[in-house]
Amino acid sequence: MGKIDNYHIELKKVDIQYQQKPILQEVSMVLPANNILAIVGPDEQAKKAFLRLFNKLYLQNTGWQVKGKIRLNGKNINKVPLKLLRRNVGLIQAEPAVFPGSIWDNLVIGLRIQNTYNAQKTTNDVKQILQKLNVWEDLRDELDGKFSYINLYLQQMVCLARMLLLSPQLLLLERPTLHLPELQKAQFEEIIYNLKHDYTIIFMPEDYQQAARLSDKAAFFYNGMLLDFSETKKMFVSPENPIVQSYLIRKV
Amino acid sequence: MYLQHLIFEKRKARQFKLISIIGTVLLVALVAILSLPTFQNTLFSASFIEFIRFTNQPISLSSFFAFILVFIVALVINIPLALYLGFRANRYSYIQQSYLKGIFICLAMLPSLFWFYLYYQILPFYATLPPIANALLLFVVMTLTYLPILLYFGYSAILKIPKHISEAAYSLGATPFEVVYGILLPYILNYMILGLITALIKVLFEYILLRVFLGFISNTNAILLTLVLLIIITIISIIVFQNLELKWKVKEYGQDR
Repeated sequence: MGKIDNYHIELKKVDIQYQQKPILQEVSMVLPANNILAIVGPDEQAKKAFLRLFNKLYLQNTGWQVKGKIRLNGKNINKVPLKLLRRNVGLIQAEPAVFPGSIWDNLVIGLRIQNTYNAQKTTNDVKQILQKLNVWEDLRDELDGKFSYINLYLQQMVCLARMLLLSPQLLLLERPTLHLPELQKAQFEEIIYNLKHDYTIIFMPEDYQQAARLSDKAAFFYNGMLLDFSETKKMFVSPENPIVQSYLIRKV
Repeated sequence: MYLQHLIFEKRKARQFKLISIIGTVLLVALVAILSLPTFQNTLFSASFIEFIRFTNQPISLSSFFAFILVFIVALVINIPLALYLGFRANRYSYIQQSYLKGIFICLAMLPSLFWFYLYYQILPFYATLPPIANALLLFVVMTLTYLPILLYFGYSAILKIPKHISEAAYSLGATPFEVVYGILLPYILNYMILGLITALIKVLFEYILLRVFLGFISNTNAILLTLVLLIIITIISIIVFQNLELKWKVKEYGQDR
């Protein structure tokens, strides 16, 4: 893969349009592996579109146009089969997605979709991942139970485990702690922070404080433009862009 | 917020049950009055009864295929209309204006008028099957005329599924077919079954009404007993439907909120 192998994610002049209306313009960035990138700023639409860029989720709706180059581990994502791409790029949403069936069914649904389900191997993998997420003790006896009967934190953890079972390279998190109580938010943040040793993470934080706590780098979106992309500490302490500066002074 | 929603749902469910019970009782009373032999003799002229009495004429097997063809034509017309009406109903009555849904369900039944027209016009010309098959066919036809209700229930259920669920399935690599078949269909199955029950109940009501009006059933006690059974089925299905909706909300919001 040559020179580009040093970088995990590379975007070159990426434009996103929705029904001929520009959502994001000329976004270029390089994100090293095992980093947490926080996407911040007042432009919600741009942030959502940016997050869905990497697993091409925008393809499920009509009217979206994406131009530019996106490379993941040196590979152009347009040349990767969609199923494989979505296996490599996992998404966690604000609300846990409850699929029909038991907790076990929910855990292994990704593997079943990807046709890589193996009962014995999966049992071990599930145990390992749930242990890694510190929820094995809570879920061990509940695996055959209904997903909707466990609390939101555990539901979100099952969603995370479901994604991790596919061994992705990149995790996309869209306000994953939005509906969690304060204490569980802290637990979840700790888990996300620990996950960065194995994965690259792009996440949309709930607030600027969360972005400051968790991320290594931050990207600031404003009116469809990437105004600033730098180290989180640098952006929050001494932002170069005056718009970012004025916005952060009001918000942080 | 969730609790408020739940209370609102319960209150709505209670009102809905009350309205349906009153409506059913009125309907039973109407049927009981109309089923009196004296009333029948004065209300319906002999020619009208003779015109509709084709249901006791036999039907040929070849005509059955012609009948299927007509059914397909009606289906082609019914489905888009029902989906469109279902969509409109959901758009306008998504959260609170639930009574509008009832109106739109009624509107969704309008295409079935076309069905009745075809049935009355075409069916009497074919006749060799025994009367029992004919009566059964009438029942089947009427069930199919209420297909829009079934579709309405299914489509409403699809629209009620939060968008993030299908998005999550796509993000795991599912194809649109897998999303519909593996994720959305199990969700809407309960609603489809309830739609079927509702359609069947309506058909039973109308079938009995038709038989009573035309004088095919003379035993009033049997009719009343059937209607009482129908009331019980209606009420049970409404309760089940409402409970399912409540469970749905619990699923949507999580248990510990």
